[in-house]
Amino acid sequence: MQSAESTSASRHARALRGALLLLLTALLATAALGQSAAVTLDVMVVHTSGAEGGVADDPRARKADGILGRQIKYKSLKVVDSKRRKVALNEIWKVMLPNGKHFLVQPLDLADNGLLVAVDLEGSAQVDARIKKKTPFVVGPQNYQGGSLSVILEANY
Amino acid sequence: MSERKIRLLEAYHDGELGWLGRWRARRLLSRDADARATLASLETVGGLLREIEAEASAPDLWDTVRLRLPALDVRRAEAGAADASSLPRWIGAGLATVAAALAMVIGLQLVPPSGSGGAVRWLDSRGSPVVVLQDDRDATIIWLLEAPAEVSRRTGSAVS
Repeated sequence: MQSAESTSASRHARALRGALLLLLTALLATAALGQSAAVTLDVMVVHTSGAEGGVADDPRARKADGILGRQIKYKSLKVVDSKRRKVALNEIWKVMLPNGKHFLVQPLDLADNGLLVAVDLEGSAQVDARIKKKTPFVVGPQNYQGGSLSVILEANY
Repeated sequence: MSERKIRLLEAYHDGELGWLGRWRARRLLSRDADARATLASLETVGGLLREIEAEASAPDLWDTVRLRLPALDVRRAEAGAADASSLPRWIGAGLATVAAALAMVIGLQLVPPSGSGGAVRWLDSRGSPVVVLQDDRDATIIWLLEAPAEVSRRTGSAVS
């Protein structure tokens, strides 16, 4: 037999659950609306260094080399991480870098002249940019394992 | 479904019933599709609550705030640039030059939102020297000048 106190607690828990159910329904509906305005973001984390090693035999590394090689001097390049995600407008995508820092990106506005994104390379720089479809946007470097980490962001929408 | 049945199912879901109550609940579930749907909803909500509880252990609202604030300024600047497009070009160019010079002095780079076709609208390197190595249709490269010795710029104009 349950005490009056525990019965009352159960009643309160059920009332709370009912309220949360309504709230969740509203949140899910809002999220569903927000998902309609989403963009696909690619994040590639590249490690470059002055140590001999060349460009890794990897299509992603060759692509990164094509982007960075004209501007940055290095003797080795490899892609240490790459991720793709559909991100809703105003949602923040937080990517953990191998050095423990975070790369944050938040798509804000989609217009004819590109996608406005807010970018934060933790401890380094915050940038707002309007990037064109499939045009690489690079932020770097961060020190890592005797070389540098750079982040290449691309948007597809 | 009556409120009494819903309470019975909630208590069944929460494991609060004795054997007689459980038997009644199971009998109701075996006969009533609505009762089965209600129980399934309770389980779904319970799962979502557990997920939210796990994710909410470290809310990170500051991330949202700190990324939003500069971006609001960018939108205002873009709107302002559109309004100012009727000014004579030489006035716009002069203002842009003065703004860029001031921004470099204080460690911020405010890039005109239109005209050059560049992507960067606002940049804060937290006081560190920074250079935009490339900002054209092929790529945009934001490079902080605190790179290790073996990595240095190959082109550009402002490296120390």
